[in-house]
Amino acid sequence: MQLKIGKNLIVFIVVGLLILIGLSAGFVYLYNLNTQKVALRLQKENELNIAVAKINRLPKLKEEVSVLEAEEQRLIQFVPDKEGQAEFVWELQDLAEKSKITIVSCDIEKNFKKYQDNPEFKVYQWRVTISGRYSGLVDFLELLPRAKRSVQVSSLKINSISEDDLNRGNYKLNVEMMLDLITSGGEKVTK
Amino acid sequence: MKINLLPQEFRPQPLVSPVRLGIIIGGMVLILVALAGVVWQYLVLRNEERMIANYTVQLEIRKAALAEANDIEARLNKLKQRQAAINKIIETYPEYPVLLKTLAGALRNDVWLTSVEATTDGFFKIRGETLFFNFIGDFLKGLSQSETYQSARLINVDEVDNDGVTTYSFQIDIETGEGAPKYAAENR
Repeated sequence: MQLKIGKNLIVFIVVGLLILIGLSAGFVYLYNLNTQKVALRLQKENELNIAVAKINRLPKLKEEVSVLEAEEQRLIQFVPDKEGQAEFVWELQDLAEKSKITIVSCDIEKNFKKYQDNPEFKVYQWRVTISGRYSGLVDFLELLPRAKRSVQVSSLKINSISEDDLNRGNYKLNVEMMLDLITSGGEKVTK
Repeated sequence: MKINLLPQEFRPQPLVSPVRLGIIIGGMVLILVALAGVVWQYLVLRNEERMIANYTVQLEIRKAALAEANDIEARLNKLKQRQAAINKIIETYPEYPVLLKTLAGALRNDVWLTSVEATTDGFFKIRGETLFFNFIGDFLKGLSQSETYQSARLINVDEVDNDGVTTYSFQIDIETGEGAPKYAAENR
């Protein structure tokens, strides 16, 4: 059977091919556009998920910040003027009373020190002499880290006051210690 | 029986040739499939754009809260760094309550201490007295068995006569391994 191709059929085929090419081009164009949009949508979705997670953690973050700010506050509590020194002495006195020991003397070193590895912090050294019982001394040393200001003991020398007192549980001690009052030098952590 | 003697090309053509019909239908199907594909891609595109717009709006709504969270997070990081620095500093200080409690725990009756000095190189230099010589050995053993101290070394023992009562005074060096913080050489 021989196919007789008429003019109309040729026109139909040409037009049909043109439409098909146009539609294919449109498909490819839209497909590429979609690929970009999907990537953009995934990026936005990810950003949103991260944002929501972060916002949900906001109360916890605020809580953590307030805890660390309280710690930070301990570093800027001490101002090395007369009032600042008096306040620290009162605090030491309060701790001593709680520990049932007596503060015999309390002197501040003339110059502050800085740490070798952390020069951002200033250290005001206080030479403190106390007397009391052994249990009181341990209580005092245990209370110091919980003070309003950041205080550490850098040196300690203990002597029994009455060496001939054979009752070990009762003999009194004379204790010389160096207290390091750690401060941030008034610099507060800012945003 | 009907015999058609006309050659093929002169015979009357059927109104719709099956081949033409096949080409037309096949072409139409191809065009429809391509059109359906384009429409599908377009709908997908619209959907993606709608979702992107939705996410953008959601992000915009949360912008203020997110900025606050970012600020707080940045502040928290700085505070944590500072806290880590402080903790590192505090670690350089000896834990005197623990060291003293361990010392008291190692003491037994009839052994008493007269002085304890913590040195900056991580030693406790202790002096004490006892009524019985062998108690010093027990005390040393107790110190050595403690996990708090690294070692304990007897430096000397002297016999002392206290108005007719013989006591033994001794000196022991205990290595605590906990020294003192290092300060910068120059101060301002």
